[in-house]
Amino acid sequence: MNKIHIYIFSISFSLFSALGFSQEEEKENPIDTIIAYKDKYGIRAGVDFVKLARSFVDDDYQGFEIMGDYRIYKTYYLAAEIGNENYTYTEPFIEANTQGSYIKVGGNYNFYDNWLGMQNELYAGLRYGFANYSHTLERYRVYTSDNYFQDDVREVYRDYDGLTTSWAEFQLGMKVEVLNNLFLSAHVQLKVAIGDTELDDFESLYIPGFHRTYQDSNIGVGWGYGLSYMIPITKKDRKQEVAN
Amino acid sequence: MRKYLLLSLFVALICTSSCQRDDICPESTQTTPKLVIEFFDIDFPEQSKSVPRLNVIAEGESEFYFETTENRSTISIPLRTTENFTNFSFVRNHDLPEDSNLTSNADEIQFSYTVNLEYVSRSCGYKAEFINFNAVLVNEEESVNWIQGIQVIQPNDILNEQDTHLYIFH
Repeated sequence: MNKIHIYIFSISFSLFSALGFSQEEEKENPIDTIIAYKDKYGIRAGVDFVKLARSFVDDDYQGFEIMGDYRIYKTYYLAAEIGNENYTYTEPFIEANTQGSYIKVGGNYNFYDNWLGMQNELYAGLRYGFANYSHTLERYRVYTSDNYFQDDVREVYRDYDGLTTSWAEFQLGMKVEVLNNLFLSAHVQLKVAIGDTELDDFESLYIPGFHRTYQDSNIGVGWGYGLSYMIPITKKDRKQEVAN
Repeated sequence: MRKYLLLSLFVALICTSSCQRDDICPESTQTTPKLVIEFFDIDFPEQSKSVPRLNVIAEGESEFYFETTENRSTISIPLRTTENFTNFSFVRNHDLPEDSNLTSNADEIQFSYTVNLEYVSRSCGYKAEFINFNAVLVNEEESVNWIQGIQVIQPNDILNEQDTHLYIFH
């Protein structure tokens, strides 16, 4: 019930903010000049530098992600990410490790109107995600509601191998060209796992690429930061009408 | 305008789903159950009868389980998950005032069972269940038992704390 209230609140809040934006009136200016320019098309490839940095800083995490996209039509891009993660996590009563690889394929739609050949993006993306991974349940402490007896810690090192999960992912992000053909990007992810994450006497608490799972829900969230470089392949002539 | 609407909806969705806390084990979740014991009158077995100044202590522990000594007719006590038995001493008239003319009496009951471990959730981890539970009252030769009879309730598996698992008659 409480959750429904939060949803209603957030939806009405976002409607209000949208109303606020729509009140900006557009001034009509006569078109004076038409400027021709070249629009670059090419393959863009990069890495998630936060995952890389975390691998150096955090002893419990090793991971990388390579991302790439290819512009197929004005505002449409094919996009994909591949990555690998090895993560050891500590819950109040459980210590476990997850390692594996993932791939995400899909596309982005750029809804940012660029000014004369600039290539910044404000984009929405859809992906199909797939991960192949394994868990090691290292140890757990048997739950008790009081601590009259000493802790019962079981070292199990039980392996769960050959696991797979698929998910649908929605992304929202931005890419900014900071130097010629060099881009910095940031995005947030919302995903829905297909199928459940339950295992025999355990469950998938973490999935590479999908991140943390939530109890009684197949929703996942995440974010990513990228540094990528575009290799231009073709240039297309474009014209833009400019008002003085 | 549409893009801002999209953006705010997205942020709202991410916030509500990630702000859902599931890293604290909720009290409503059935975790490792305690042994629930009810005390009855030996002369009127249908009638609940509280034990004056009752406290319990497990063999091998240095402290009594209850912080305060009270008259109790129902108690819930933990069982060891590291072993397949726990021996408890049930003390009637525990910690009497100095001027009292009553005497303290401790009776021992030995509990045996098989521990079955089962996954619950991220926040609660694993719980124990006690299968094939049994209880044996140790008869004292030198003094008198205040406990006059015990009865393990069937089925003798301790899976939750809603059910009573043991009746003690006195």
